[in-house]
Amino acid sequence: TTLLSLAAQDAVKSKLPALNDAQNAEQAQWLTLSARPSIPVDELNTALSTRTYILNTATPSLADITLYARLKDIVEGWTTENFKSHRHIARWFDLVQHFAPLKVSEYVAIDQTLDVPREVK
Amino acid sequence: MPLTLELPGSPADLATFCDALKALIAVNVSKKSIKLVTDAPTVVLTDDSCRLVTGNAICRYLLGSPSDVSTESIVEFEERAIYPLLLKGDPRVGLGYLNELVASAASVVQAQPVGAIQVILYASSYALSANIDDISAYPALSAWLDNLSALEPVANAVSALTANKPVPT
Repeated sequence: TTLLSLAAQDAVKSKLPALNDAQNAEQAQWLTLSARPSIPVDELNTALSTRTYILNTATPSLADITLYARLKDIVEGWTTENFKSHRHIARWFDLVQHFAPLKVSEYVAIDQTLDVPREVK
Repeated sequence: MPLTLELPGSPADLATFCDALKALIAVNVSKKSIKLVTDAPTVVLTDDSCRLVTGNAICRYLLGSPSDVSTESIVEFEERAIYPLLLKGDPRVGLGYLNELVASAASVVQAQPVGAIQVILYASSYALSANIDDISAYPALSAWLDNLSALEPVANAVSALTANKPVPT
């Protein structure tokens, strides 16, 4: 919630990327899905497998910031196995929490050296 | 990659049926050329630039997002108050909400041409009422549903999803 309020501040707002129609639809989708009682992390992990940020933008969008805020408590409780099975979320999560304008005061520790087999696509 | 819509052959639950109906009506209304896959596990619209898995997002992409705050708030209402009733609960509660909405927001739900907001509300209303014999207790909603059901893009989508298949309860 703190991050969501930060997102409304001018410092962050001015840094949100412009979105096209497809990205706007996807942003609405992730705002919807992340508000549900059970956030579909497998779908999110799949979506992030080919993208740096969730809407394929060069910098975090409102969707990234909102997803981060709504996932923070969940990711904080993840085991090593959870991180291994959602490696793309782990990579993306660490990237978003280091997005300078957010000024996250308490980073969630993400081990980027996890030994996971290469994905075959 | 061509615009592709994947639909489940037999939707597992009412929420999935509703998403499929939203997506198929939106495709018909948009008249976009699309590759249809009808035996997928879930509802997914894909093209080169996006992957959409909710009916509402598919409606937004194909038909355009609501252009003002009041209409956007109706979509939020549908997602927060109606969608959970498609998963669990008494559908009559949702039909009561929708009847009030249709009666009080006539300018939005009657707007022409049919856009994302009408498709979203129609599919939710259709899904909630599909297994109820008599919806005359919801007169505004009933009349509105009849009007939209008569439109060719809507009728074709309903027919494709319900031919020889019961709507999930």
